[in-house]
Amino acid sequence: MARGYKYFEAIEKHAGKLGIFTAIMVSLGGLAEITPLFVEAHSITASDGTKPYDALRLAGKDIYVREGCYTCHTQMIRSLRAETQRYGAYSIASESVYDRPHQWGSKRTGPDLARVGGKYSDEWQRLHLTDPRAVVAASNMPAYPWLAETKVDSDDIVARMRTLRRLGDPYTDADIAGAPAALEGKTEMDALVAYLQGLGVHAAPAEGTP
Amino acid sequence: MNGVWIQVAGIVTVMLMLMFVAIWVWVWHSGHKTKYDRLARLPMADSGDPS
Amino acid sequence: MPNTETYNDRIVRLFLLAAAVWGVIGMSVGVFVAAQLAWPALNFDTPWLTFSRLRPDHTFGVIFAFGGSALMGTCYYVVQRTGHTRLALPGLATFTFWGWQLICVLAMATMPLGITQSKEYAEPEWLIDLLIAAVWVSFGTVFFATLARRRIKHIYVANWYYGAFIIAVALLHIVNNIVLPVSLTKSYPVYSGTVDAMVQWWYGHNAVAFFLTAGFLGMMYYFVPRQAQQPLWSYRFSIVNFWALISVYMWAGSHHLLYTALPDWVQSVGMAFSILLLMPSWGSAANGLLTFNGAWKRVATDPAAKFMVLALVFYAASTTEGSTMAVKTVNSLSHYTDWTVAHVHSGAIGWVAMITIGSLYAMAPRALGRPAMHSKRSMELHFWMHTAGLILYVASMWTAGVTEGLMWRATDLNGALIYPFIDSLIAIRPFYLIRFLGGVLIVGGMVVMAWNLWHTAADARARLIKPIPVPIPEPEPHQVPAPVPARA
Repeated sequence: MARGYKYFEAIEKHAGKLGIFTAIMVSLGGLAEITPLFVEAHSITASDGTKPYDALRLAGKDIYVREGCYTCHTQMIRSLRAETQRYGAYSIASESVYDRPHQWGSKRTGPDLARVGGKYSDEWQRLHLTDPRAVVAASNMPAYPWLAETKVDSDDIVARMRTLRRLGDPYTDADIAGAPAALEGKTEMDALVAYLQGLGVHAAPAEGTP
Repeated sequence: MNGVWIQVAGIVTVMLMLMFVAIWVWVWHSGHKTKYDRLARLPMADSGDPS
Repeated sequence: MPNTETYNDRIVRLFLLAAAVWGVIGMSVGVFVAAQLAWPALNFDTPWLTFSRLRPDHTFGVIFAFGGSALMGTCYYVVQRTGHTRLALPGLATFTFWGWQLICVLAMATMPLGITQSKEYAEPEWLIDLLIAAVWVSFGTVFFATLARRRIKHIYVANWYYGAFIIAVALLHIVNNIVLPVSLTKSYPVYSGTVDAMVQWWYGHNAVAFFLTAGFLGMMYYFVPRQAQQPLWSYRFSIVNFWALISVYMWAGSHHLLYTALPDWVQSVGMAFSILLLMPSWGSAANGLLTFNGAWKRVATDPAAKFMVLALVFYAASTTEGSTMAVKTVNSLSHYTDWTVAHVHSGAIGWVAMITIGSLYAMAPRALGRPAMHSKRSMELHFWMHTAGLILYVASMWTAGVTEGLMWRATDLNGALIYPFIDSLIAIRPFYLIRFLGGVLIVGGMVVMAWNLWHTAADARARLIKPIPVPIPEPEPHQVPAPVPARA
């Protein structure tokens, strides 16, 4: 025992050894939970009609990210009956493979948006984003009137799509070449509404099956 | 999770439990008592006026 | 050997000042965004004043600016005192101060402009992330270099926690922020979808574990015995808790993603480890509280000790709540509601802020060359304002959260949902008002503390402080670094 004790004690006396053991212990959890997901990530394919965002929707998604919509809206319908009843079929992994970063969120000050696409008209979405209380009197959502007044930045879109392609999203050369034209004359409101109207529409599994 | 993963998970769990027991044995080892007592008094050395 | 070495308390004073200032700023932003939830017109249709853009300023401001400055300042104080040595690498230490302040200013200026990664608690874009990494590595270098020249052979347990905090936060920050930049202000993470969610909550949860728990436990393990004037209830128990805490916490992050598209086995592992976490959490809280055993009279007369005791009570309470909320059944109700907000704030305002305030009140007079804080009555006032604000905040948000959870799942006899979403928002509106009032009280208390610190620092401002000499222990063979003279 005395000898064993000597070895143990070394940790308490040497900052370096203490640091190394600490680093090992804190790494285990992440290694065990994240590594298998990386391995599995290759087997998650966007088979059910999920396509990478076209230029306008990608611009819209980046506006959603910029404005911080995730602070109040989730995009993750959990496999619980009350949620599938309210929001539609539960979300599956393949639906968010092109979301960098993911927008699952953690708080619903407003409702979930994973399947909001097509639920309201384009006109409703525009009005709601410009003045939420004109449409929903009791809403506490901030107004985003500047979206309709700002043109989408079309200079950046090629670089953005190239970066995403480098990360593995399957954009073709034609997709990228046509991007600036697709954003020509569009406002940020157009882009964001296009993004919202596309959420969850093509990938929904059978309705309400938990 | 396939079979191999489950075996690995089991072995890791057992090893972690053994390490946990070893840490208890380590800190309650009698050789530590006086050192720990002295260490535990370190924060009190900081009070009072500088001299 | 002549005693010519003195403690480097200048860097501690700088961080003390920064913590007081960022505390007021970060919490004021919190009160403002809380007001916006009650009165949404308060964004004045201005992009950078909008809730969704300002909320990261509140979280970054209190966690990294206020908490980070307090942690770095106390860490530099504690590592010197428990090693009986002067801080190593003073130039690098000064760099960590200015670097960290620059990061906080840059992050809080860019996020409202929409320059954000929108990863919760890791919003700043890649350039700021690189700066954070550089300052963090420097911080670690100063800390471990100081440990290396200590004169007490064994490393005091508070330093273990500070060390784990530094190592783990570096690991979390780097892994979570691996991105491919598009331009100076935009990047895309290499992870997407499910993997990104898991990495994000591995980070998010363990930022709580190692920034907001391990770091502040380091503070607790030094300043609680210091203020109780008696040794830790059980020093050996603190070591068991250390290894248990750092190894268990990292597994629990997936409890943020229960019932989602994350593979089921990862959810179950997260839930199981969350329940295991009760043990080291209760162990640390009990160890801290029992340290006051026999010194309760001191608590009645010492506001700093009052802050510490209530901090430990809220640490025990909020970790118990956290483990409960990680159980799938509870989580199905609590998740996405304001219950989560109540839980986070009982941890942040109850545990983190109170242990910080208690420790700052304990450390400030010593670092500022005064026998005591300027005004004890204003410390008492701060304690009661903070406590009242905390209770209003947590009680109102907890009630709001349970109300939302129950309304969202309520069905009639036919199994149809009863309430449209907006009804839940109308139902909780009064609680948003109460929460706002609680926040006002807490910020008010922070202003009182800043005022008190300002007056306590009178000597420091007049540059009258005499450096405190390092007590050099009896010569022993292992005392390698010989005392070095302090610079005048």
